[in-house]
Amino acid sequence: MMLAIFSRQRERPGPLEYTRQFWLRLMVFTTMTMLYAPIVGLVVFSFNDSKRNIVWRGFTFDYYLKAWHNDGLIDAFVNSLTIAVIATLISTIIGTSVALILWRFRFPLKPIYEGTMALPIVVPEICMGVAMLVFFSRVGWPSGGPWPLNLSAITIAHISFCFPFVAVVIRARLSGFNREFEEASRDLGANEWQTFRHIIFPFIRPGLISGALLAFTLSIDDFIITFFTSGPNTVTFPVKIYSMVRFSITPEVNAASTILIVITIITTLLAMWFQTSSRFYKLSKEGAP
Amino acid sequence: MSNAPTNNPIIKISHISKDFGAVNAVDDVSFEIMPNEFFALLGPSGCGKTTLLRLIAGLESPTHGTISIDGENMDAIPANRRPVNMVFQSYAVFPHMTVYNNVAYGLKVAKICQSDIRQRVIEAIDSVQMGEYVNRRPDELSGGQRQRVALARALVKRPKVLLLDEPLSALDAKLRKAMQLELMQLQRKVGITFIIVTHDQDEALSMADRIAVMDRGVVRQIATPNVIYESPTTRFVADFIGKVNLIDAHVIARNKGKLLVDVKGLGTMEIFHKNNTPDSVTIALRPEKIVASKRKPQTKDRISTKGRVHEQVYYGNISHLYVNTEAGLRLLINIQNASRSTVDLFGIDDDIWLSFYPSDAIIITN
Repeated sequence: MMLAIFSRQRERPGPLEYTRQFWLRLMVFTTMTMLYAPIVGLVVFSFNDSKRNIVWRGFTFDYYLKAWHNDGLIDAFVNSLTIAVIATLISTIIGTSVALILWRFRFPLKPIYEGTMALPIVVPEICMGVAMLVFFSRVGWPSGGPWPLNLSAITIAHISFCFPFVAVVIRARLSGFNREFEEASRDLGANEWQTFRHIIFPFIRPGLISGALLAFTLSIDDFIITFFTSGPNTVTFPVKIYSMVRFSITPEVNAASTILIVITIITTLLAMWFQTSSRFYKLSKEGAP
Repeated sequence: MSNAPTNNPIIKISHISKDFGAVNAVDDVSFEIMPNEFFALLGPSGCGKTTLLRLIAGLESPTHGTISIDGENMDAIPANRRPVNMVFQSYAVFPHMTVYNNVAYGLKVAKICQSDIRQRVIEAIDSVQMGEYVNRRPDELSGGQRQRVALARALVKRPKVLLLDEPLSALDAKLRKAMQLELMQLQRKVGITFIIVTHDQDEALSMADRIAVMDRGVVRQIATPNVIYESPTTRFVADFIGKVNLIDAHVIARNKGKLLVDVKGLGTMEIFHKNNTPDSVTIALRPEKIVASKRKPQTKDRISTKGRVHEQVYYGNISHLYVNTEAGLRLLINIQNASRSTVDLFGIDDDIWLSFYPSDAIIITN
């Protein structure tokens, strides 16, 4: 009798037990399919030797070449890169300053400042886009001008939604900073600037780099906010792809999108690598007091 | 011991207080430290000893009072321009620099020329026996090695005073003993004042020339280890340093530096005591000053009482016996396990005799 009870308990593992392989596999399969089947399809069909992107007709690089010779697409790509580089640089500087201020100082209404700094992360992009559009037309911001001045509105919009991410990443890193490093530096005769340059800056550098790369990926593939702030002559890569799609989905669109995916993945991997490969990180993981 | 009394103090602390909000971390502390002294700040956690050390280093600024180092007022001197260096509790060895660059850091920021830096750094690293680790990074070093780097980094600056914040607390027992000895030798070799903060009484007793015992922001007693242990002036000091039996007593008569006291449960005895006391006092009696025997001691000079062993705790070289006396006292005594069979002599519930010299009893006023 007792034995029967025991064996029955054995036959029915709980829902989170490792032996429940069927559910485990089903879950993994479902999530992977939902997330990556469309992307894999997009990449595969970028090599499709067919004008209409429905049936597989053989392998070709033609559409990558075609995308390369598409001046409008290249212009858009150059615009996107320019915006991304400038927005990354400026939002990294602003984001780092904000993080340092929040880490170092105590001042009235600091929690409110901290909250408002993080707000652009949660505000829906469509609202940000509309707000930017209204703002720029209201103040009469010049949308024309010679390149790259005509990109100024988009760049400013990008900076405003990128720097909070940089600030969050660096703030998180700074919270793991052992203040005794700073005190030791001062005790050894270093002034504030020397301490910042030799101790604090090396500590936040991995966060700085990953924050910058994050800002770069956010900027280069942003569509919604860019769509609202771009003029007729300032088309970015994602906006260009969108307009191409409106005519027809050719493998050329796939090719362009694939390039965007590759750029994004590489910068993300770099960001992750920088974040985890620093000696400060290793030492702080050992749990030194 | 090594300090010459004619010298001027290297550190003079006068009426220093430090408040953190409503908490008085350090409360009106004044004392002097002599050149070449190995000085210990000893006390339980939260007694203000680390705050006092940080005040000397300039990492905190005092609410009241002044600190002078080598005759110079330090009120307006920031941490980076004080002639003292600190070994932090976490060592705070810079993780992104090699051992060499860690030790060289303090000289580089002082803009000393490269060849001088090289010579002094190598010298400092050798003095803590880290010569073969010059190019290692801190994450490749053990805790003990990191501490040596922190020591070298501080000593290379040739400070007038070296401050050590609980330097041995993170090391295991064996390494701690070895480092204690090494720190003492190092101090004698470099010939500068060491101030060590510790909560470990053994550390303070064995290493320091003088100890300041702190409690709740106040210094309770400053004296040599021997005086601190054998002649504590307050109940706190007697209780915090080592084990002690504290027994209530009552002064019956006073006569030229001698007091006749009636000790609860032990009868009357005559004890030397210079200072004035109230009538109600406490007797402190160290466990190793009480002798246990099977038979009633014959000498007249010793106070003796009969008791029954309540509990026995075995430590190898010694045993602790908790004895209930006939008069209802609970006394702790030490037994030296001088012979392999000593431990069997005094078993639980055995009736034994305890005796001690009245001169070994210390009078403490509450």
